[in-house]
Amino acid sequence: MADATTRFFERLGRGEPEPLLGRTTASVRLDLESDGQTEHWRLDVRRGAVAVSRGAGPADCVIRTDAALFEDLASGRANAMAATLRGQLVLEGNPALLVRFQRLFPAPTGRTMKASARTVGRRRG
Amino acid sequence: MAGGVVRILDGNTFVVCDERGDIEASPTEPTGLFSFDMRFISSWVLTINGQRLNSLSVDDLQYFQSRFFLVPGTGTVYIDAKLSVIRERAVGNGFHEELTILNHLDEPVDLEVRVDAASDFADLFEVKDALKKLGTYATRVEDGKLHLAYQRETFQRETVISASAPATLDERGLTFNVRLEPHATWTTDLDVVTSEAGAGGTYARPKYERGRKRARPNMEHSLEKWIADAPRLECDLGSLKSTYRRSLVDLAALRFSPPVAGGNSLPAAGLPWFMTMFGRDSIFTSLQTLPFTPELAATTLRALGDWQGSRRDDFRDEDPGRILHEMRYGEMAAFEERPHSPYYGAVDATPLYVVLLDEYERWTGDRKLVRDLEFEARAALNWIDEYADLMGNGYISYKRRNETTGLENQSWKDSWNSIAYSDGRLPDFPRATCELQGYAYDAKVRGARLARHVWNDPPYAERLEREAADLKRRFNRDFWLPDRGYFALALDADGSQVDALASNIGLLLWSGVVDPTKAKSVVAHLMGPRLYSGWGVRTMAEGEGRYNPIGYHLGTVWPFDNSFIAWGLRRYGYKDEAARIASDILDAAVLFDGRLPEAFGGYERSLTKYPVQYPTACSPQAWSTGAPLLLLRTMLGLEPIGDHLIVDPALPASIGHLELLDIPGRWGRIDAFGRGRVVVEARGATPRKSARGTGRKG
Repeated sequence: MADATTRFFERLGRGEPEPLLGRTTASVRLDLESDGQTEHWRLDVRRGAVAVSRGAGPADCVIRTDAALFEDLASGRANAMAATLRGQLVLEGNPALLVRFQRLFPAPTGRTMKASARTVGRRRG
Repeated sequence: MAGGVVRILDGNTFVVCDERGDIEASPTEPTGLFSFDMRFISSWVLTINGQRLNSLSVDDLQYFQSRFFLVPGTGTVYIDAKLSVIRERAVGNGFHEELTILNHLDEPVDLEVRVDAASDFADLFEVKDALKKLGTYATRVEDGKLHLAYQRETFQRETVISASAPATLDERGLTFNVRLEPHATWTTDLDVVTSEAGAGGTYARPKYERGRKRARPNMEHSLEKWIADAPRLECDLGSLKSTYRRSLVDLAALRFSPPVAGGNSLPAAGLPWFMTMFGRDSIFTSLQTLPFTPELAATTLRALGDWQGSRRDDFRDEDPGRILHEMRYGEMAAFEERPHSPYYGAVDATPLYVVLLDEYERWTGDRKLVRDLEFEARAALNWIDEYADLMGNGYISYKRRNETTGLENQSWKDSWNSIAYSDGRLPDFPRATCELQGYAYDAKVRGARLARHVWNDPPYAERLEREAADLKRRFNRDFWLPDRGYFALALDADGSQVDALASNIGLLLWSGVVDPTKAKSVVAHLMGPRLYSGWGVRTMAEGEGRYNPIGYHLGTVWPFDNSFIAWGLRRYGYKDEAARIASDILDAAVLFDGRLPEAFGGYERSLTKYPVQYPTACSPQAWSTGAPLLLLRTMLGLEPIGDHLIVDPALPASIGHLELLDIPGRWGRIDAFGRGRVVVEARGATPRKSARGTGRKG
C-alpha cells in the first residue's frame, strides 16, 4: 500500500539537499494511521540535508494523520494546509515545521478546482 | 450600525459589540466574538429582571480591554437607576468579562441576572456574504460549563462558557439569582473560551485573568514596553506628537502572531476584519515602520518566507517562489470554498519581498537573516522572470488562474475598475501595471546588492544589474506617453498603453525606475491640479473617464500611497514637494484624531475644508497607521548609508523644531534633529525653501 507515500519519503531520503528546508534544522515525525496501526516516518533535517528513518522517538514536530489522506497529499490530490484547518492533520510541537514541510508536497493533480455554489467573491469591507 | 461599535482584540481574536457590551449578530450586523476567522459568539445579551441595560459610558482601556458603565432601563429616561452595572471585558483566547452590580438603595434587592449566549459559528466570509451553514450544531451543559459546538465532518469549533459565581446553566445561557444587601456589590467572572481541533490548538482558559490590566506573562510584549522601545518624538507641534503616539498604539494592536512565527509578531492588514497575514500589507507596513519597530520586518520576512509558494496550484494562484497574498483559517478556507489556505493572488508582494529584505539589512545590519533567506530571495527574483512575465514581453503582468474566487486585480489597486484607459474603458487581461515594473527593477537592483555583499555571488549580482538596467531602459521607452509627459498606468493584453493618469507614477519614483530626465514632468503631474487635491495625491486624476473623488481607487487619496510617493520624491531630490505631501497628510491626520483612515475623498481641499473619510469597514488600517512614520522618515531625510544614518531634513515650517530620539539600527541608537523651513501654503503654491538639520550619534 501507500505507493505515493513511500516514493515521497524515498525521494527525500536520497541524500540530495532539499533547498525548501535550507534554513531548517529540526526533526519531524509523521504518524500515519490505518486500521488501528500507526506507521512512523521520521525526518531529521540539518540545513536542508534530510535523513529519513522509521523511528517513533520524540521530534520537534509530530504530525498525525490518516494514511489514506497522506497518500492523497503525497500525490497532489489533497492540500495539507486545508486538511490541517479541517482538523485532519493533528499537530504537536512547532507549527512552523508543518508549514515548511508541506511545501514538499507536489502540485495538485487529479483534483478539479472547487467552484462552490456558496461562493460569491467579494473582498475588503 | 446604530448603537455604536466597540472593538477590542488580541491578535486575530476580537469582539465587536454595541455600547452596552451586548452582541446580537444578524446577517447585516457583523458583531460577535471572532477568532481564527470564525465567529464563536453571535449572541451575548445581559438582562436584569428581564430588562435590557442602558449605556452611560464606554472606556476603551486598552486595545484589548473595554469597560461599560450601565444602568437598567431602556429609553432616554432612566426608570430604574437604583443599580449600577459595570462590565469589564478583555480579549485573548476568547474573552474574560467581570460583571459587577452595585445596589445604591438603603434596602436589599433581589435580582435575576441573565446572560443569553449563542453562536452561529459563521466564517468571516460567510458574515460578509451571508451564506448558509453546512455543518451541525450541538449545545450541552457539562461540569458547570455551557458548551456551544459546531461540526462539519472533521472540522470542529467550540465555545465554552463558565462563571465564577453560582449560576443556573441552560442551553441558552446563564442565570444568577442574586440578593444584594443595601449598598452592597455583587460580582462574577464570565469566561468565554474558544477552541478548535487541529491547527489552532485547544485553549483551556482565557489569556487575561481577574486583576484587570495585567495580561498573563505569556503576553510577551506589553504596550508600555512597545512604546518605550520605539524612538521618542519631540516636536513644537503637539498634534504631530499625538499622531505619532496614536500610530504606535495602533501598530501594537495590529500586531499579529501567526501560528508559524514562534510568538513573534508581524503587522496584520487592518482591524478587525483583516487581522491576518497579507503579503502586500505586511510588507508595505514593515517598510514604513523599519526606522521605528524593525522587528516587524524581521517577522514578516521569516513568516512570508516559510509560506513562499513551492508549486503550481491554479486554485490558489500559487507558483514556486511567489509570496502569499492572504491567509485565512476559517471553515471556507478549510473546505476549499475559498482559496485562502493561503491564497497567492498578488503580483506585487514577491518583488516587494526582496525590496524589504534589502531595506531591512540596510537599517539593521542583520546579515544573518539575509543569509538565511537567500534561497527565498532568489526564488522570488526567479519568479519575476519565470512565472510573472505572462505576455513574454519582459514585464510583470497578471491574470488570475482561479476564475471563480481569485482576485482580478493583483496589485494594490485591487478593485474591479481601478485600471482603466483615459476614456474609461477597462483593459483585457493580462495587465502589466506600471508600478509592478518599478518593483521588479528595484528588486533586481537590491537583490544585486545582497548578492554582492552578503551572498558572495558577484556573477549573480552582475546578471541582476544587467537585467535591471535593461528593464529600466525598456520601461522608459514602452510605458512613456511622450505627448502627455507621464507613464502609462499599464500595458494591456496587446502591449498597448493604458493611458489614464494615476498615482501609480509616484510609486515609480520610489522604485527609482524613472529616467532622471523624465522625473521633472512626473513630479509636475503629481503636484499639479489634476492629481493633487490639497490633502495629497489622488489615486486617479481629475478629468479621467472613471475619475470619482469617492471611488475606491478612482480619485480618493490614500495616506499609504502618499507616504511612498513622498519617499519617491525625496529619492529624486524633490524635498520640498515631499514635505508638502507630509504636511498635508499630517494635517488630515489631526482631523481624524491622529488615526488616518484607509482613504479619504479626493475633493479639492478648498472645497470641503475637511477630508471626507471613505466609508470602510477597517480602522485602523496597518499601512495608514504606518504612513505618519514613513512621512517622518522622509521629512527628516533619514537614509542608512553603510554604518551611518544620514539625516537631511526638509520639514514643513508648521512643524517647527523636531527631534526623533533613539532611532534603532546598525549604528546602535541615533538622534535626528530638524527645524521646519519649507513654507507650505494652504493650497496652490509651490513649496519653497529648504530645511537644515543635524544628526547626532546618541
